[in-house]
Amino acid sequence: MGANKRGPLSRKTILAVVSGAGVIGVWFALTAVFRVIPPAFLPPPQNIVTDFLRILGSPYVGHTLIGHTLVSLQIVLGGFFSALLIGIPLGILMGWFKRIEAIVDPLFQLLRPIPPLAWIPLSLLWFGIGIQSKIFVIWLSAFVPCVINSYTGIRLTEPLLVKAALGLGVTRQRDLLREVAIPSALPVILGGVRIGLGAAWMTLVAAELLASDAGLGYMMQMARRALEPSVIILGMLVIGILGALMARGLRVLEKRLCPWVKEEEH
Amino acid sequence: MARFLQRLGERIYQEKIVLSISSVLGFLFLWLLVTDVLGLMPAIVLPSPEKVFFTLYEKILVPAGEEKLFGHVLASLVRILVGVGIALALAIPLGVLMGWYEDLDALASPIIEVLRPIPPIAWIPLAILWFGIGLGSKVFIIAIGVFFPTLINTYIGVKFVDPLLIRAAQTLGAGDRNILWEVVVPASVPLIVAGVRIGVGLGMMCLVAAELVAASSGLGYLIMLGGDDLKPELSITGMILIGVLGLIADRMILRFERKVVYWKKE
Repeated sequence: MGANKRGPLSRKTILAVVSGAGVIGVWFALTAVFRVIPPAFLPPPQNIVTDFLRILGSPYVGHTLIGHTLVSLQIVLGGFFSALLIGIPLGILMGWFKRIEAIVDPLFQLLRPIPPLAWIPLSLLWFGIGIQSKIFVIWLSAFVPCVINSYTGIRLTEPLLVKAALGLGVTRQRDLLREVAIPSALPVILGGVRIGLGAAWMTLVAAELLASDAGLGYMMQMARRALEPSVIILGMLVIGILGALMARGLRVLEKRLCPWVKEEEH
Repeated sequence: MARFLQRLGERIYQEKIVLSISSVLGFLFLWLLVTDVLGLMPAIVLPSPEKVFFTLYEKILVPAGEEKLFGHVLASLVRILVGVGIALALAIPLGVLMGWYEDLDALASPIIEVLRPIPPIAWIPLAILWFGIGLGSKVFIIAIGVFFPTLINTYIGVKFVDPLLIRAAQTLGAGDRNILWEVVVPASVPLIVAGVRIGVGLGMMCLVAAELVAASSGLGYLIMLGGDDLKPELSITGMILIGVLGLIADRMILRFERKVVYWKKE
């Protein structure tokens, strides 16, 4: 954000390094040097590295770190992509056809205020503690933002664009939707996809904390019972990194698909 | 011509209302049909709508778990209010200062950027380890959920205040501190409130997650209890109430915004 580039080390970079080193330094001092904080509460930073290497190679509660990560990824991606597949077309149809909107929207408004996480117990009752129940709640959590944004995006289509297309001789509704409305709605739709991705990760963690026998959330829950906070922190880091990477990937896709959108915010 | 258009508008409007009402009624009817009339769904999988309604009524008088319905609502309400209060008290001042002082921004940003991608729900195991399963851990998780959106929006609001406003204030002889408190902060209120609104939505999700994982009261606990005791009507009761609570909170923030940001038009 800042633009003061004087020499290789700007004031900003120095401060960033100081802050990062400061946090780790205080953490190290409190846990390893003065031992004010017991390791069952907050482990010293080096324990996280050693535990990382330990569970990378040998299984922890059933799987290695990579195994748990793959289980979680499979569930997130399954729920997320099925939400895109159903949510985006539904939202587009709701935005374009008034009748579909009139039928679907009230139901949608009725169910929307319920946080998707709150469906977990019912989902467990309906689908058991296997993979389906988790995919269902993750689907639900990503589905809602996909529908809302697709709907809003289509609704926000500049009437002038539609009129211009009509003036240029586009006659069929389908062509108007495909050639004008959907491309103009694309940035908003992709915004919904990004929100949905964040929601999917949150829901995954909750579902895995509650009922599962593998996955990052399960690993963290077991580590809590075994009083191993370093494994919990590792789980948090992996979830954070994967979520950030996937969000970054979506940004790149967004830039590819809608090159006309200006770079905003961060 | 004008009258024709008006009549057409009325007709479409009416058709929309008719379609919307019949859609909700159709949904209820279908629910009734598969449960009571045809008995396709056993009551432990999907209870009938009237059973949900009676459970809602019954639990006002008969306790579920340790509390009656009102007690559960109150428990959730206390947690969310304390969590939101703490988060706002920390996030808004920090966001203002980070947006205004570049050095502080450079110091705090790296830490925040590392913590931000971690979903607040992933903090649950650590929070339970640190604060036990009482009020503390729930408030902590809710506060984390509310903290980041509020902080980011406050920061952006302060950082990207219209420079014209600042220059105008400088011309009129305002000092640095006056500009911050009398120009920049008021100008960023709309964005701050928008952040609080996102944050409270996220906070409701965190509340549910925290109460699902470990609690003996609250609406999330009620939802979990329904799943554990094979009483889905209890879960649905809790889901309806949490949805209503979320809607009320959202409306209150909107109303507050309209009152405070009276200069902003719809």
